[in-house]
Amino acid sequence: MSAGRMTIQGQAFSAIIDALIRKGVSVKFRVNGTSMLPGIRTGDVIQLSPFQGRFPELGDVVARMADSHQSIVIHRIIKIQKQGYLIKGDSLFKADGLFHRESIIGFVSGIQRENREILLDKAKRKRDILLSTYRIFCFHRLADRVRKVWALAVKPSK
Amino acid sequence: MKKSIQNASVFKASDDVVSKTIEGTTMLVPIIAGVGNLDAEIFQLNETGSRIWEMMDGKTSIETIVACLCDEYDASAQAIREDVVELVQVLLEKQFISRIL
Repeated sequence: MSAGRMTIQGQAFSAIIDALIRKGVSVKFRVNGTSMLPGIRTGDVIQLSPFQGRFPELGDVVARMADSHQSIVIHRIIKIQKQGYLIKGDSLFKADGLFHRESIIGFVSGIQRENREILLDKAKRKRDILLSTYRIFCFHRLADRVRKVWALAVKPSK
Repeated sequence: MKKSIQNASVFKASDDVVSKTIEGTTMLVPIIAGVGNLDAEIFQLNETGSRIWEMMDGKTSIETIVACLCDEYDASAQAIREDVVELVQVLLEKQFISRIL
């Protein structure tokens, strides 16, 4: 038997997290990525907890399986629709898409940065959702401008 | 007093450990205060260890585990028993298993 701080990756990583959440226990692990900046940074240790009866709420930072269960994505619910939950990384310009309840495995209940607990302030949720949604608006405006400039550039001169 | 591991001894996986086997390797994560910490110690069992872990079901005796492994691996019963006992002792020490009989 070997023990220690091992790097579990890919399917094994997702599978052990899924097994822990299914058992009804929370799981702590180190995250890697920039899609949830400034709230969650590379190297932060997050605590993921099972919903246990409650439904995912607007503003919840949730985990979902991705790449055929090869990885776990931690992003925010920015809209709840009949068809599912619209999920997006706070620093991204585009949403991941709509997801059903079954594909959401748990929610972030704690963040630890350099051995310090980061408070998850519920009051800041509205601001975080607004900021996240504003980025989509910015992306569309930028795309419109590029389209217009492109149209002018390729317009045949009379 | 510490009980010795007999042929008739039976062990069962603790409720405070979550295991997952992927491609022959079993990962064991202890649950402490309701949290499994993947940023701390994680235990891994190789293929033989995983097979032994699988049989820690609260019904299978050490004697049966050794007999099963003798059928599956090319090693003497004595050597297999020593390996099984060694792993059982470590798992007991870590409180990953508990004694039923």
